[in-house]
Amino acid sequence: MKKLKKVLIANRGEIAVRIIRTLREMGIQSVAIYSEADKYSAHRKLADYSFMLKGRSSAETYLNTDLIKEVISQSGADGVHPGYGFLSENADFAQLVQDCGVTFIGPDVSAIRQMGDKITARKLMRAAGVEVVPGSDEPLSKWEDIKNLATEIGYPLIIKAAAGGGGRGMRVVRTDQELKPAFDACTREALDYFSNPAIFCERYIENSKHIEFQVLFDQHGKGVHLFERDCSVQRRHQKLLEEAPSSFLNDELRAKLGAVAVKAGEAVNYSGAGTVELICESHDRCYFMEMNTRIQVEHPVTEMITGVDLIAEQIKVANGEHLSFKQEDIKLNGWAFETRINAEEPFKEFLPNPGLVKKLKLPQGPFVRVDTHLYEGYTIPSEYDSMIAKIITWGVDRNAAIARMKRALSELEVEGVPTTTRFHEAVFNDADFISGNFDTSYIEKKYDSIMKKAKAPLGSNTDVVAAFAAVMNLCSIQSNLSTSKSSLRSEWKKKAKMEARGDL
Amino acid sequence: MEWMIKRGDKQFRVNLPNQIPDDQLFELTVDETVYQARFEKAQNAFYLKTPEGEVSLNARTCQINRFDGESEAQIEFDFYNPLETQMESFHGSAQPWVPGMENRAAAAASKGKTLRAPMTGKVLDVSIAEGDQVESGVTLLVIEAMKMENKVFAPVAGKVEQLKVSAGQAITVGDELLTIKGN
Repeated sequence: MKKLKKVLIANRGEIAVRIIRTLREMGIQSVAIYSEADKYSAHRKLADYSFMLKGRSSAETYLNTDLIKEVISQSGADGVHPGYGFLSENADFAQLVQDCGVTFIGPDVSAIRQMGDKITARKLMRAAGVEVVPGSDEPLSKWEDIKNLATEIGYPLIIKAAAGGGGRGMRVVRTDQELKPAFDACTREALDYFSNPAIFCERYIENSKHIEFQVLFDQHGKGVHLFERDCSVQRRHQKLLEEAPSSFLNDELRAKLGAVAVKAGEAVNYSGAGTVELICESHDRCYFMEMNTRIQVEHPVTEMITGVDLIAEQIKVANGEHLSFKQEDIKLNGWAFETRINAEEPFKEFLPNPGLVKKLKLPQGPFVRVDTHLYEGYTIPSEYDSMIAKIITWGVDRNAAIARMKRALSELEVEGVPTTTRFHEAVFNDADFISGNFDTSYIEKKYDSIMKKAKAPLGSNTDVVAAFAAVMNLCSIQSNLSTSKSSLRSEWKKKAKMEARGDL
Repeated sequence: MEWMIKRGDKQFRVNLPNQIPDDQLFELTVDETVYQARFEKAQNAFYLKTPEGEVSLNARTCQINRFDGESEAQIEFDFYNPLETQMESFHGSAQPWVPGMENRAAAAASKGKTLRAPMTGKVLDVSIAEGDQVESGVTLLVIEAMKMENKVFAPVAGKVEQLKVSAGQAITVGDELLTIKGN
């Protein structure tokens, strides 16, 4: 059996770091690629070998298949791990890698193609007896077609790019008037983001649970599921935090839907790690939404409750090994949460804000895992995604994992860029979230109230807090200016002059 | 020296020594109440002396924005508040306290509101021109950062003056974009 010795990671940031770690544990050499904007990224330093790709934009670098192909052959890598995003679900790229005589760490090209095209996937799932959301069975390119379908299935509906994923290229439509602009925008985005203008349309299921099953298949037709993740806390279809397992499922339903997920994978002869996403309207109405043919951002929560290193399993499967466990060997142990720390201002509608990380202190302590490429002195580039870290906590049950997440978040210090930490703390203090009473509409409904609460003074010592603010302000003035006495006087004079001018 | 701290609709008058000694006990006054405290710079930690021991208010992050020509600094920080056993956010401002400022502030005439870049990125589109009359809430310009398009809205109604950016221009946080002069 041919075993991988040197793997190129066609990705960046935290997932590249995550993959390099497992490679090193397995004694496999790693090759990083990085753009000019990423020359300070931790994945470059951590990898055994690295190549710079000229340019800064994703299109010039991490999506540039010609350039990456060159680097693959130059590096002598015998495997390519695509991570998530970028080229991870690009069947042409997987084909290109294989044409170089190099192993693509992921499923077969045909499985990527079939699942990547949402319309083909729907058809395949229906044929395999997996329930899908009511909607179009053919791609829609003409305005008349979508208009007719809208009349047939009714509002609200959702238009999606056939080649889309990750929440991009989607539009929810609620009225006739919105349909035309949404159709135009979606077609345009589908072409821009995914180079494929095909779109399709489904009934939009509101107030649903987003439940996804992690599956793992070897190349010999054996597959298992590693339980579910609940990713219902979303904002504009972007996941913000995840947990495993889900309090929405009981053991019986878990086993039933897990079997459905394995069936979905079998329908495309899947191999490697994948995720079957379900949309659950109620306990007995769970539909197949899509299958992600790659490792997911939120894979660590599954690793925490199963003890399985999913990246290591991907590599073993790519080596042609048989799965070393059966379904009944996989035990669900405890509860895990993941919070995505983004360089965004949660008090200002998640305004992204890249920049220099002046100070950094990451959470530590028992049962806390942090996946990140961040370090003190790192400048977050503005070219890529705003996610800068993932904090994962494990607990013996859901409440223990929540308490641990709150503790871990309180230890995170990032100075220089805003982060979504406060948002997560607000969620983990919210009674509805704690009791499991949330679905995909949670953020839309509760964002204002939980953030308002997060901003409000707590009350017991507000004057001391004001003094704290005054002290920090004074210290910042003193550190900015060399002679503190004269600077203070000038601060005061400046203020007095402005007052005199009526310029407040 | 005295400082005016604003937080929401509350104001505090804080008297601090002119120099904060690192990790040494000092006296401060908030309105009429006197406290003893320490500030330890390395960890951004503020310790308040109480009979039960020194209470630690440990700031997680602190962002202070002070722009040229403005005496009021915007301050944001999060800290663990042991008296509440949870995280708390401070969003407010600090400025030197000048006798009588409270009264004059109310009577002050509006000189126009200067808008600053809320993020580092690139100006994609400028939807208005100098001299335009805008309503509160309309889109003024679009900034691209981290694969997202972010609109900048008019915070007040008025006339656009001193437009300092154009499409394609790279900007950083705090750059002046334009001024809206109130009606």
